[in-house]
Amino acid sequence: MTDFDYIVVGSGAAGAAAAWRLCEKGYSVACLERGEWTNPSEYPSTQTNWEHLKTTKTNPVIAERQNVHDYPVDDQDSPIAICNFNAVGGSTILYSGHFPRFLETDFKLKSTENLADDWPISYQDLRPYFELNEQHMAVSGLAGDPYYRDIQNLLPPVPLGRTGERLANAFNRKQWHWWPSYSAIATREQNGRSACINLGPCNTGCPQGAKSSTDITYIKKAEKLGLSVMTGAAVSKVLVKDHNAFGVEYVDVDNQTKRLLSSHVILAASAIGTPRILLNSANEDHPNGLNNRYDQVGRHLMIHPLGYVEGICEEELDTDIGPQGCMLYSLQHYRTPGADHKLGYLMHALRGAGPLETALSALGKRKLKFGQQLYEDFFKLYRKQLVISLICEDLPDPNNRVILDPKNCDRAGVPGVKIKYALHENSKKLLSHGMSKAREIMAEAGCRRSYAYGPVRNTGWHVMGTARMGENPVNSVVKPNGECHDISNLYVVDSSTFVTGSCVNPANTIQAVALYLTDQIIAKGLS
Amino acid sequence: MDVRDLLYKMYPGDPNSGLPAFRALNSDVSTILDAANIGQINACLSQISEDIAQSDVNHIVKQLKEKLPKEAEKLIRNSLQFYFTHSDTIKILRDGEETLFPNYRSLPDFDTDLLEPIWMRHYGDNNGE
Repeated sequence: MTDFDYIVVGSGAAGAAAAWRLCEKGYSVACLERGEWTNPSEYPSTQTNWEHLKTTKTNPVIAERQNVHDYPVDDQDSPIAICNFNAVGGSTILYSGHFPRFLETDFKLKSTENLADDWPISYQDLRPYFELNEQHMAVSGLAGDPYYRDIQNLLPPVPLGRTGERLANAFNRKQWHWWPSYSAIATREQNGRSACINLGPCNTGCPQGAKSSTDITYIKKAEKLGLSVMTGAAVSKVLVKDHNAFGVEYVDVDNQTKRLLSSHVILAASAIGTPRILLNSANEDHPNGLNNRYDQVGRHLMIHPLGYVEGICEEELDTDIGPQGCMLYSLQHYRTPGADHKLGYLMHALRGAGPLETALSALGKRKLKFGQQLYEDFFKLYRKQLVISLICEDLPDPNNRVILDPKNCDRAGVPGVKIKYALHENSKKLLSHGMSKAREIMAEAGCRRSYAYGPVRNTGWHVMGTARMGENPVNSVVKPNGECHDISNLYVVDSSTFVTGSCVNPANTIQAVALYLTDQIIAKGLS
Repeated sequence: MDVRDLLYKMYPGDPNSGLPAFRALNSDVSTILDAANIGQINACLSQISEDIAQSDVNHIVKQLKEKLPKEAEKLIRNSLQFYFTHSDTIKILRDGEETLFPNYRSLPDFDTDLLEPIWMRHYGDNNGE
């Protein structure tokens, strides 16, 4: 006897999309989320001290935040700290909403560039799901991008402001590609959702409801179709008998251990949370964790190393107005023939900092004195910062991995995780090249001074690859349809399945993959 | 001089921008530091022999950093956080608005003419077809 047709673990980008698709097809679905519903009226930008609140309850670094619903993450052995958010909506509550697609080449690095491995699925397989996802997530942007010639049907792009126009003109003078951001942000009222009002810090949650987090998109729609969302439900293990999944064990808000039964279990707990569950589900038949016969679960962790370049203008701009992480981007250096590195990076223009971050930035640069000088130093930077971040593609390395950490457990006594991650030599070259090129843009934009550093530690949002898909169980965890090689009816649909990581923000591709895999799962169930 | 006097000197206010003086923010020093840190810093300030009232505040902060590096760092960061997130400071920087939400801020719509060099490079006169 089962409680639901499908159990989906996680309500973030992938889990929400999968849950909605299953409900849309008429199945009974439970979505288990270890966090709770957020209250947008309490998001930091509703308060005066939003910059302080950004470092506390909405701190993206899980190791620093340590909310009651979080599990321990020891990332001391990584130059990049893991970032996420545990709530209904998952990390989409705090993401910037920058929403490009992976490019066609990203899925076939082995056959085109003799690097890493090819995905067993292609961009063309995912294309209808990108289009479906962009409708549901209210994506804004502009058709005609030479790098994405097939993208159509977008809401108008987010405005650039004088800040973005200055950068755009600099890119034009360099004759480098740039394009307005693809943004999961409603720039016009749509289907009862409000349009963006240019608050600024989207990455502290959007009280306006314009940024498309999954709690107000897929989850909301799925609930109308009968989805049961169970919050405060921290899944600790998948239940398996005779190599068949039959449910999950979870701990509720009262720390009571319970079971939920289903003949189909779908994991979408992120590239950190999903391997954690698989490893913690070890039993007599699977002593190294579920589906881990060849020690692949948790391995090949990919994170986008981020570089950061800040240029300082003479005159005041509008750097603090508009979506913080959505303005314009450049794929000019997606590939650089003849360079000393492989693959490439995306240049991602960001809006400037708030008052506190400006002051702390000046302090960090030893450019902030006190007394009357404080004000002179502050206004030399405030609203005068142009920022470009560099998202570098990461090559999969089996030594970069997620393992269980039995010494540090969550509220339910379930082990946390330890991250073992080292920067690939190619990543270091990409960062160096990217920071140099971004400084060229800053000079072209008329900045009197620029600062560059990387990898930026507190930026480990884009985690991928730890339960990757493939035909061969020796070097993959799930089949091309998302089903675990060794456990029937247990699936993974999140970024854990990624074979390679591209150099663009992965959220759109995470959801397209989740929607595609969900259709594959449904088809298997019907066959 | 005690910690409060030091904070008054660190943040004297700015007549040009209208940013408030720390003195005007009516705050208790205990909102910035705990009692133990206040005591340590006060003790250190009392040992600084120069005429603090006449000295450059940055010179005093420097001496404090040399003698009590952790406490000085906490004072600096906590006071910056307090000052630059205080509603009186924010209202000046945001023309009267205390919070970001729900205050709409206008930006002009995206100007597609900016993309003309890219259109021409990639599509010539074909308008992206």
